[in-house]
Amino acid sequence: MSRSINISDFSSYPPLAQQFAADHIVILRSLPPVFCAFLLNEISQYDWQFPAEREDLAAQLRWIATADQARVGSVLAPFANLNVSSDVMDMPWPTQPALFLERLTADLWLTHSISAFYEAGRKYGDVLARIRDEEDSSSSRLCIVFIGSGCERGRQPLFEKLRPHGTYFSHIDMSNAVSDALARIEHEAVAHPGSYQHWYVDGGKSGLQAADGSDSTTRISSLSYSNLDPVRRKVIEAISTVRTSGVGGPEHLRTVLREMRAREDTKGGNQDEMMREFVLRLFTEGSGTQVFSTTFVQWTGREILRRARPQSLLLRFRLRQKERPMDELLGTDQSESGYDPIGSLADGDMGAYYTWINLQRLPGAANSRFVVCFEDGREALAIAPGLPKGASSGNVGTFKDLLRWIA
Amino acid sequence: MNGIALDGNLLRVATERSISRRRFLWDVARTSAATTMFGLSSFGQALHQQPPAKKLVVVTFGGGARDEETFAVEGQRYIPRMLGELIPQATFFTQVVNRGILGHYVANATLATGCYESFNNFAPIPPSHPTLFEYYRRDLRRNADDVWVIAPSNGFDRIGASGHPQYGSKLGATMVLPKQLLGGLAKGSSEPFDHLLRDSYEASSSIDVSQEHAVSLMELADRLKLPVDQFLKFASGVTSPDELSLYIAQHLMAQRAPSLLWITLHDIDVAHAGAYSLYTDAITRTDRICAELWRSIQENPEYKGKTAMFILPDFGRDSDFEPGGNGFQHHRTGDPLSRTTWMVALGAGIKENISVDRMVESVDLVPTIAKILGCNAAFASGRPVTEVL
Repeated sequence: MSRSINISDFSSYPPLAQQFAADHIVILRSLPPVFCAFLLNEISQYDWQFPAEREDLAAQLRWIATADQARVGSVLAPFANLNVSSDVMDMPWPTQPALFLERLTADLWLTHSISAFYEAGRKYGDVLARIRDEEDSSSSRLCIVFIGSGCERGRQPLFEKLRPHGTYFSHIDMSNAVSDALARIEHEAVAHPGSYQHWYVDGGKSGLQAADGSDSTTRISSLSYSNLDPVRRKVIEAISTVRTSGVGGPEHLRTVLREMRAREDTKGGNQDEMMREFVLRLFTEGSGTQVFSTTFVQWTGREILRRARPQSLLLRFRLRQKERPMDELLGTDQSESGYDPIGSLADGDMGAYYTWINLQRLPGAANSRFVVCFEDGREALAIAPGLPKGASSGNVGTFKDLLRWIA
Repeated sequence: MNGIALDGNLLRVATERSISRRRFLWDVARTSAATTMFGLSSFGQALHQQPPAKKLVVVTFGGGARDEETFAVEGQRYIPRMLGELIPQATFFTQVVNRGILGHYVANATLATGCYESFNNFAPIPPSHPTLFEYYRRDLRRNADDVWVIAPSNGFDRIGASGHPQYGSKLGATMVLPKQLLGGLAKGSSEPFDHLLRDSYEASSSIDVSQEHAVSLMELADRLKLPVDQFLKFASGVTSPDELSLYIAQHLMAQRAPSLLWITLHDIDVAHAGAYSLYTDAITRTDRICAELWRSIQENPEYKGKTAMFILPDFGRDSDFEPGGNGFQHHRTGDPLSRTTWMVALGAGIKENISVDRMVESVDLVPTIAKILGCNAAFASGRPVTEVL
């Protein structure tokens, strides 16, 4: 348990991560090993982290170094008290924190310590939330979600889980809504500039066309399922290889996927290294993102909110493919099989709800603005300061008007 | 291992869920009283009790299901048959807590042994404690044809017998893995059965079926008295592996009428792919399968009036509000909601229209069934649930 950490432990980390870890080695040495391994796992990804994540790491280490030490001790003590098997703790965790955490997780389940671990995490999460609140300089965040593109309306009520939190609109003209939404994100990007602070994710082909023909602009970070097809296929190929090898099970597969790195041949769209790595993680860590576009959009929205903590975000759920045998979905033959419109609408509706929940986890959530629209219809729901909760509105207007009403 | 501690948070959430399920059932009862769907004048009252059970059918969902998609108000649309047909005849346990490992194979092994099993969920190893099947066979001197397990995928193939030195495979259940059976029998067939041979998204990597417990497929088909052509014809017309399990169960009951039949359904676990609609579709399919099984029991003189059926998910799934999870998609956080579920018990010897709000545990199932069947679950750590005895 008392393994010491040396600078040489960081030699396999990428350059910026090595430097960051070395700069903070004194604090790192003072931490309970399990907690330290979690921090080191984050630090080892430093080169590919978004600015918000880097600020987060620095702020956490600053808090540990400068806060009342009795308080720090009481927050971290539950990590030190976890019942972890000695063979797991004997692993070279500072060198390979990701592998260690994988084994640790399995061990916590086996020793029935997983709840104690989550409790420790919750306690630390409260501290982290306060740190983020204090450091937060964001303005009112904006999140727009489109669901139901290409879907029949059906009879199921829409936005059911969100209605208690906002106002339901039944007569919104959605003509040009997507391009109006994109213009609004662009407007937000001009008003609140920042790297990776404004995002557009499309479950189909991107609706954004820059002057150079790409689907990105300098101000908006953009991802589309269609453009990322080469990365998706590469990951499916890796999954397929493991599945058909007859060697190892899900844990081996997880290790193989974790060790994949973004390279030029997995490049999708006009992206920098940080974005390429982010995209790869969406497909290697996101369960189901490789097979269903609706899952991809929901998971990507979650990861953007969690990691980049953006100022504005536009998600567009599209039709997902029909359910097929998992062997086919994860096989190398990726031919089209038709779409599931009814399922796609339900998936998008739930995805919108989860996006709102994830938005609520960010600092300044009370001031955030959230809109979800049925793209091929007239229904929308908005949650924003000043808008009544659990209300319905028959106001007639365009999508642009709706954005004005929540401004 | 005794599972995780029963701390205040788990107790509080489990109790809240219990109250919410109870309240919902009251609402259903009130509604149905008006429409005579249940034909009840009051709810929560023991109106009828049948004689003790001679036969037992257990249905587990080896794909956790949450309240939100089952017994919560917003979940009722997904389980119309259980609500309309089974609950009015059942004792309903509103608070079943699983304090063990939340992986489907290991959790179902826990259900089958009455002990919190602790092994790698993805490893092809048997439970370490004796199973219900072994207790029953040894104490009542039953042969393997009287105890059957229908399990969903390769990962479950060892669930029929433990590695316990005093019990073990010689006393285990006869295992049927419908997908494996179909795969074997379909060789040479011109019909495509790939859609039924899939594995779940989570366990999409291949794990070899243990040879130690695998009866040859032709021998198994023979013991099942399964008409291969009919089976293949049926398989070509269905869309889910759980439908195959239902077919095998119905066939088995008609042909061999085993005294103890354990079925683990698995379609719900498609939730891991993140598509909410597929998850809720699977719940509705599972709901229908449970009702169809009950109907088959009622239509079979070998079973009618002398069979009890228990239905329960192995556990729940993550809460929408647990930051470490992604809602319905997984059961990775071990949060109280993912550990809290429900159980429906109905049939011979079980009171109708009763709701039990006190907490029971997953490990209580085996001692309860053992008591009903008259065998001694000597190594089980749970306690018999008196409300159904």
